[in-house]
Amino acid sequence: MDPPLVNDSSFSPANPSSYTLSEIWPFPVNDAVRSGLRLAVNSTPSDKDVSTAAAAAAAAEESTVTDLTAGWGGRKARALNSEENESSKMVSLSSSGNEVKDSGERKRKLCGSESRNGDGSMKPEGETSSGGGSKATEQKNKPEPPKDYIHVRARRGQATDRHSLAERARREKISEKMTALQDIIPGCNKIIGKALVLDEIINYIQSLQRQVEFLSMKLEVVNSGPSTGPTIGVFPTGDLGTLPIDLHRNIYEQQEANEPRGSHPEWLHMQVDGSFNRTT
Amino acid sequence: MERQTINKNKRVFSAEPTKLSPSEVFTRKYTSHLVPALKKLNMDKNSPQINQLTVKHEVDMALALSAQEFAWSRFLLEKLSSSNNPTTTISSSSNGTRIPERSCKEDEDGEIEEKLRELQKLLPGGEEMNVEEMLIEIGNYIKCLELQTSALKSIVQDTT
Repeated sequence: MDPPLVNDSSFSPANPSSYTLSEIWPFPVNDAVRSGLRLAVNSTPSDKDVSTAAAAAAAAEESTVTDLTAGWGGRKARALNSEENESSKMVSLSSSGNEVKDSGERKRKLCGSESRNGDGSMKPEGETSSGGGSKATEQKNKPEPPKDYIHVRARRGQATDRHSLAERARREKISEKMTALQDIIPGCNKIIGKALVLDEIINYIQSLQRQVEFLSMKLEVVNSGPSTGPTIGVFPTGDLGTLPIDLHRNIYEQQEANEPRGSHPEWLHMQVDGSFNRTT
Repeated sequence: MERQTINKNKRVFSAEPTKLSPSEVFTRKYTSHLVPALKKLNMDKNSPQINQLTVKHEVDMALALSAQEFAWSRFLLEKLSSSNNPTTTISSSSNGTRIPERSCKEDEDGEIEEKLRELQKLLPGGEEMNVEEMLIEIGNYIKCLELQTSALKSIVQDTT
């Protein structure tokens, strides 16, 4: 039995004391985020009672931990919000019953200021998820004003003080981005472990840069040679993907007026083979 | 007069103008920056001295100009325009040494930090960003480097 903590009827649609986002959250945010948050913030005060009742219930434990994201810029907030977009926030308000089933699920919301902590925050940070030895099936207290806080669900056995939570959230973001990078870099999918992946990335970038350098050296020689040819032909489609580029024929016509320098050095004809490329 | 003729002729046309994926856009911009610059370089060279760093400069400049929606390109532009010193190129700052692996586990986090800092050095302007931003920018940078490499290869192959 899931006590419906929150349902739509408990929300007051027009809250006279609604907070504007700019008061709460000093960071620049795009409009979509702002509107989403404002809606969320508006629905707060009436739910205090509901949540207090819920807190008393043994089965339903809160693990709402609020957290600071002072160091995070607006972009992160936007990125966060794009994951937890407005619809999910709204929906989750009314379907917190479902939350209980989603054990161990972590939600992150946007951060508010420190002062919000004192205002009607139902669950102060001290309350942890490990109370009573129950599983990590925690409920989220949605209607709290700290929508603006980062809600990081504490897993069982993990520290829940503010700093380590902030640290953990930060680390999660970083590993998220690193997995994104892993997709870009060929051959990185099989590697496990942050350090090795980072190694791989660094080597890849260095080899790319060296390749560019080498190619520009080659280009230099080619450029200054007399027999650069009267035309630069069409780029082969295979090299550049789907874009055939047609350079104008006369682009190098001036070249022919230059004094001949002699024959090309032999190494120019050396093919740049695929050894630089790591194609999977 | 000749220069005007050249300038008129330096447009890059695509046979399929309606398709505009980001990599195509980048590649097109890149080549349309680089090729005329090379041409101009070639024309301006009266002395037999080959200055390879000028070409590198043009190459990097074309990269920076073609990717202006990214933060690192701004830093790259600044670096290029402020330092006309030919010894200051991107590649000179990246060392070829592999990162030494530390065997002690307790240092693991520090090791990762070390590598992140190394990454920051590779990315132009990376040191001024914080880690999370930097990781995002690195992805873009890698993509653009790859496109640049293939564009350069095509140019070189077509002219040999």
